[in-house]
Amino acid sequence: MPRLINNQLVTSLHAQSSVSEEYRMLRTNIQFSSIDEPIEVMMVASAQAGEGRTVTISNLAVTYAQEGKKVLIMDMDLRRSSLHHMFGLRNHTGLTRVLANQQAWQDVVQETGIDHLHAITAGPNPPNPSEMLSSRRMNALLVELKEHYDVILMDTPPLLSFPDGFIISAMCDGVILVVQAGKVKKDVVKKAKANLERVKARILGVVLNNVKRSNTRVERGMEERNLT
Amino acid sequence: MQLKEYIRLIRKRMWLIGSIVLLVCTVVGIKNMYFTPQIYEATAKLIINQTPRPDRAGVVDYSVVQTNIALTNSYKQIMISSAIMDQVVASFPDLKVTPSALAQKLRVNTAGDSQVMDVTIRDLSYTKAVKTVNAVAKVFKRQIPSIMKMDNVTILSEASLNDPAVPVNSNATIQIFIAFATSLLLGIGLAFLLEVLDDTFKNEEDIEIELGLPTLALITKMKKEDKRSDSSTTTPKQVGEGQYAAINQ
Repeated sequence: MPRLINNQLVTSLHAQSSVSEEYRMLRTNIQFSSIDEPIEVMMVASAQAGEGRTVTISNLAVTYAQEGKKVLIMDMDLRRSSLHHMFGLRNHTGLTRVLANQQAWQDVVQETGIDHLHAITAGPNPPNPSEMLSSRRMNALLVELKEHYDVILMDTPPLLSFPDGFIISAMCDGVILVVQAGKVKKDVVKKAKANLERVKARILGVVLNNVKRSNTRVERGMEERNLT
Repeated sequence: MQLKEYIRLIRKRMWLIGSIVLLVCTVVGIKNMYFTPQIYEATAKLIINQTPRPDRAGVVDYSVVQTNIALTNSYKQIMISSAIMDQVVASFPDLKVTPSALAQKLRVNTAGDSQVMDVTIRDLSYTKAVKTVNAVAKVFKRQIPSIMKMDNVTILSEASLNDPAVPVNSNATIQIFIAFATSLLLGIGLAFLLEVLDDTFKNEEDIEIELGLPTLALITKMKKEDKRSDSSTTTPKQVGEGQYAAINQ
């Protein structure tokens, strides 16, 4: 079945591009950031909306899948879900159905068209997303999913708008903080980081998104020189 | 900041600076070209010189010259008085000016202690300026004998329509140059101001300093060539297939 894959999924559509290389760098750096205890469940967080969480997590998921890992990508943003747009999936069924005990998780998992990569979309918008995410059902589901997948990646709502992100961070082994370059004020990001630390989330590091090409060219050139 | 930083900053905001400069220069240029009326100037010269007594012909009498110079100052006042202005308007109705408007346009100067008076008229039309100034000179010469009981005014030179008409007020080149320099400074100033006011993360250093977190990756802005597929033959079926050799397999 031909799917309409979002053109921002560069790691799949344009695997040789320099941007794809940057996502692979992200994957490698996450692997290096913890050697003793492997990070299986990860979430992307950002202070505000529109910083590129979904794009980042989707491309990261593809790079993990390309590595041969069994990857599940979940849309935990039950308010303004968007993951299904990235992979051209349908959203009439999804996580909220499972949490409402209407369907088993096996029924809502969808193929993404990329080998080793499965997705669970958010499903219909519930009236109480925060309660749903903090439910016992959610924790039980995650335990089950961990048995089936090597890596679970979660897309979340913006941190400073809703409590959801902090609830999700409690379930994760690591948080990847996405910061859009030149757009979000430092204080806002600092506040988001402080809040994450208060709930004892483990922040793996920052993905600086939408960096202007001219700014990084020099740095990349320097990296290459250091390697040789 | 170092000089290199300044240059980098200016290059970064080159579009902003460039557009400010272009905008200001265009506005000044258009204003100069279409909205600034061009003013022309015409000058006639009069000389105040009493006809010497027949017995002293050929001798320059110092006291007479001094008298003439002293008279010149009075003549300046007489010229812009209504006695002359009214006469000019009456004798040259085709000029279509009122006596008070004419008095405002008129400038009378003497170069130091000389007997020569420069009568100058500024007008939007060079032709009109020439005609007016000549009219004033003629009327003045005609009226002086009746006012002063002395026939001592001679028209030295009349304004001529044959002279090239050069506007006296607008020097577009200089104005645009000034506009260019000012707007360039303004633009650079604005660029620096924006940089100081820009309170966002822009590179790894910012993140390290402000957040104390490692940067896992820098994702550059996706351009069209990144979003395009590897080749035009890529079909959705091929999406995700192993173009990429995994390291950990």
